[in-house]
Amino acid sequence: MDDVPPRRPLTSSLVVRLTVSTCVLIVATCVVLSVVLVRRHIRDIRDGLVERGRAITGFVAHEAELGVLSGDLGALRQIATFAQGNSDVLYCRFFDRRGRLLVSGGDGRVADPSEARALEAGPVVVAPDVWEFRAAISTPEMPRTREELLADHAAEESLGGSDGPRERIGVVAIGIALEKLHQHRRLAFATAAVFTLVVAILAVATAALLLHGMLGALASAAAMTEERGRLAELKAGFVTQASHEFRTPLAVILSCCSVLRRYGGRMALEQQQKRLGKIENSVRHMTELLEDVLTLGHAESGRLSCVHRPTDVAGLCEEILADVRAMASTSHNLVFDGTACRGEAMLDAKLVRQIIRNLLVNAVKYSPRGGTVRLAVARGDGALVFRVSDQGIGIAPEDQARLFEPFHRGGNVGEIEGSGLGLAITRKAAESHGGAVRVESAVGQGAVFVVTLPDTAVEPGATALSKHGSGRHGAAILSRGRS
Amino acid sequence: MKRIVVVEDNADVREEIVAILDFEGFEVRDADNGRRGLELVREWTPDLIMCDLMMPEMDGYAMLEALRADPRLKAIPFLCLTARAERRDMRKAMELGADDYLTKPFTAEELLAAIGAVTAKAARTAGQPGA
Repeated sequence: MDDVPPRRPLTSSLVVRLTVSTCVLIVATCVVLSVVLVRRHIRDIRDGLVERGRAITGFVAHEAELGVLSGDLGALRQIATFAQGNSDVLYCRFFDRRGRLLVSGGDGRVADPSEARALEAGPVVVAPDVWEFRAAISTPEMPRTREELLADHAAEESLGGSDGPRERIGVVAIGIALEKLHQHRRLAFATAAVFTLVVAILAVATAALLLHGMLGALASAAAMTEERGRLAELKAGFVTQASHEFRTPLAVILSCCSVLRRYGGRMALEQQQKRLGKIENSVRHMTELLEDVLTLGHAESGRLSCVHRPTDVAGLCEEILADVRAMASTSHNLVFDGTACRGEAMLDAKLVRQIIRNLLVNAVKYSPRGGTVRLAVARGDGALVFRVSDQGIGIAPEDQARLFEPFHRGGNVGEIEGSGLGLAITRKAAESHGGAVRVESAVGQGAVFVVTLPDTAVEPGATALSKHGSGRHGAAILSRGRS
Repeated sequence: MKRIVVVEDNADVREEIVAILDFEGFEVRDADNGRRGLELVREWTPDLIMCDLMMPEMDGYAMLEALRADPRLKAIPFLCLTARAERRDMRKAMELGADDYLTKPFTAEELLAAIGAVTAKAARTAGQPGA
């Protein structure tokens, strides 16, 4: 459907933003919750303290009634001492109805006595950390009528307390230290802060881990997509080039056939034969190309197996050389130098044959008649080194960089035919064997191809491959005669 | 239309084209790259040029551009030979002034038909005033 909006790609910046936002959200929620809970806690403590203060003050006021009425300061002092026995109580003061201080017990700090006249419901803040609770000391009014007296007595007997009107005879002021409240508050905030910090750290740590993981996954996914795109592009290029390579021999075949068909009757036999020969050559050329493309395809998809077996190195080289010599004995001089390598090595004869034969055939193809092509092998430092050198047309430095790419041919190959795949196959084969191939050359000064293979210790007990064993068969499949 | 210059880097294909033209009674000269082709056209002034597009040293496009820049040579019909049938290459050649194209591989009949078509078109434009 064209009208479905495309899914927003999961970019790394989006992931980062989401994670950070979530993290911030968690921490913010935590902070808000903590603050709310702490404040509620503090409020509860505060309310409890207020209640307690009022209770003590009310009780003391009740107890002090008699003392104030009778003017018994000693009794008042006792009550004051008792009041101070409660925790947090700083002082306890009694004032008479006119606001004069009667008794003062406890902390020396003295509030303005005139303030003692004021009565407020809640605690009065007299100092930064002191609340003062006040209560009126009252006594029931004197009954003025006979009815009131009777009602009074009845009330006293039934309830044990008078409900009637009361007159104020004094004020008690009790100071409560807020130290404990402050302590609680500090502790609560500290706890909340620690808790928030822990949550924040955990959130950040988790976010960091998640982020790391997600970004890593995204990066590797992006890298894989890029790699796949690159490979697809390479493959497309390969396919285009390969198909292009087929057109020329096809064009030759078609035009030769056309010419033979239309003008064969007017043509000399020699001319006809020449054209038939060109058709044959073109078919051969295309067949080679086909084989090479298939081999390269196998190599690229990793289907070139490598089976190491103890192999007589010098023997194998002589064999390969003999094979190439069979097709170039009259035109070139092929030499083998195996003095620096003795004994057996763990090799896959099939792959080595493919590699070395390819290089030797190239050397013959690109060097002049009568030239010398040399194959040398040496071992040392855990490596087996093959060198194929020729005195041919050489390879320019700018070509050397791309020499092992499919279809790349040197700029100076001129009329010499080639699929352009030989070295690509050679390199893949060398890599399948765990080795590498490189070139040393200059234009007009020949070339030396150096193949380095790992020289692992020969495993005792493994069956040795005889010179005329299955290696030959393998070579027949992979090599073809180039005329 | 008697003189044809063939510019094609593949020797086998070039040989066959020359043979076909020869058998049909044309006068043919051939070259294997753009530079030599250009020299040939300048000194021989053919009636038709057949040129491969993909060549080393100087490819068909460059040769076509050089020809179109030369007032003496720009009227000569230009027939492209190409192994790639991609539209992009065709369009580029046409924009540069090629008259027609032929994709490889082709039969002798196809080649002669292309020559015929280009010849007819050249005759038409030559017949028009102000061409």
